[in-house]
Amino acid sequence: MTLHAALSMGGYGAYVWTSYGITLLGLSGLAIGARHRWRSAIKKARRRLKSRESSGAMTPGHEEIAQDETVSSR
Amino acid sequence: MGWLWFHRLSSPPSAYAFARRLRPWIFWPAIILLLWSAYEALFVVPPDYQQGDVFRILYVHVPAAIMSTAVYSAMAIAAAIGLIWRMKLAHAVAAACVLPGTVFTALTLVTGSIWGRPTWGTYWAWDPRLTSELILLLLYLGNLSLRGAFEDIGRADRASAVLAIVGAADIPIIKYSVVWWNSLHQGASLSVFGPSAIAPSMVAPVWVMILAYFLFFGAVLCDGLCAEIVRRERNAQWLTRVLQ
Repeated sequence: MTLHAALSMGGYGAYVWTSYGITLLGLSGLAIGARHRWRSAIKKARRRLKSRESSGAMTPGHEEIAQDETVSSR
Repeated sequence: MGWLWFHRLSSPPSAYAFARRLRPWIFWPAIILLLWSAYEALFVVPPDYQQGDVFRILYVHVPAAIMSTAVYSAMAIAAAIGLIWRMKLAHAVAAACVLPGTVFTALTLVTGSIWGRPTWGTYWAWDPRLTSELILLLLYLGNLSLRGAFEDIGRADRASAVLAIVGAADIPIIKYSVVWWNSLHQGASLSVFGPSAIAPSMVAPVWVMILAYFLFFGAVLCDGLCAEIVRRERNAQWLTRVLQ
């Protein structure tokens, strides 16, 4: 298959390549977005942990525990 | 004894460790299979005798369509388990399914519309299959909005679980819309157990692409689930140990 034939796709090149391009964008966005969400969740949790350690409390504050227990019990 | 692995896996620390270990083992095979099947679909498979080269769009459209309903079914089952047995991890799984499902459904509609223009002469028709797929997209978007609307994770989980379970009625409608009504959309061309309506030389890349999409979803779900677990277990001792 020549480059011209591959690009033109029998006259349907615009449709075929647009579809594959959009799919590539969608799937890459999904993979990168999911990875980014996990990393930012880890970063946020680390920041919370550091601020807790720096304030001298190794365990979460009473308010946070109460809030978490409310969520857990549901 | 047989259920022991399930109970162990349903605890957030085990699920987190399992998802982290599993992710690279499915992500890279998914990428390799995606690239191989895309190459086969674009350059190796012969053009269709009726549709010509435009049929190559179906190699990305059909797997996305299968994933859109499969992910919704998984989400509804996880939501039901979370709602009935109050399993927090099931709600986390359901939450992690929403975004991938939305993207797969949007890709189904967009690639289907692009294929429809040269084949049917229009980007969109209010056909039963297309309309029920659009409703699926709206259900996913509704679920996303509901999750963002509540501050409290528990309330968000319950509300979106109810929507996911009610919306599951759309799945059989999508599947059988081409049987129940006169539809512009063609019937099922692929069959797991019987012979497919596609020529053997053309069908192999479709199956490989479907497998690749499933593996890819698995990898994305692993990342999404880990993010959900970290968000929900932010004060847990085990997470503190993991972070240190």
